[in-house]
Amino acid sequence: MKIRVQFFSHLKEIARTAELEIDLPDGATVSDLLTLLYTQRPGLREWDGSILIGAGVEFVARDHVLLPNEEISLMPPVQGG
Amino acid sequence: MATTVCDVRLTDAPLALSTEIPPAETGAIVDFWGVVRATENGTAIAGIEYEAHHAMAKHQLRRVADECLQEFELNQLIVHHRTGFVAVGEASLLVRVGSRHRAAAFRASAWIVDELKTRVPIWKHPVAIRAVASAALPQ
Repeated sequence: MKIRVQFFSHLKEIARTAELEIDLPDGATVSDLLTLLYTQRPGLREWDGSILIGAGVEFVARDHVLLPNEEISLMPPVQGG
Repeated sequence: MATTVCDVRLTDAPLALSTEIPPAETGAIVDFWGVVRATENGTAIAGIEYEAHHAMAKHQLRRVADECLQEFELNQLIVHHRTGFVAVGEASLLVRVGSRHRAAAFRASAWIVDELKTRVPIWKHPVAIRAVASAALPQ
């Protein structure tokens, strides 16, 4: 299945793109997605402890099971205000 | 039951409060303005560029506001957050809280600012003074 991944703030520079499309097997989780991304873009791994994950407009945990064509956002800690 | 007014938005326009009369039964109003400081980590800046995940930020901001209304039994809540470039001295965040009594208004104002700083996907990018000056030079 295809998953659309968006990067925000400095994660965009580290990933060298604002978004990309990734192929994953059915039943894959956010954790599986991160593992694959870290092999393709090793610089992201350094931020593993603080990366926030969004699915659509909701925050999700790393055991979230991905859905086909789901829009996943990778975000550093927020800084509004 | 008193009418509740809730106005939550992300905007790239300068922030301003309307002069509308607050809902009846309002006995206390607390306004909070978050303003861009002239320095960031000891370095002088021209301003801050606020980046947002717009769809998610609107949704999460609304959720935080709904929780705040319920938790503190407010009858007015306005939360406006800037996106894009905000110059030093300008406001990046405006929160107005109205309630029957002052204690709830003070607590709610502090609570919602704390919550949005951890839950609403917005990021700051300080803009150096030199970067702004270079952009203003004729090409």
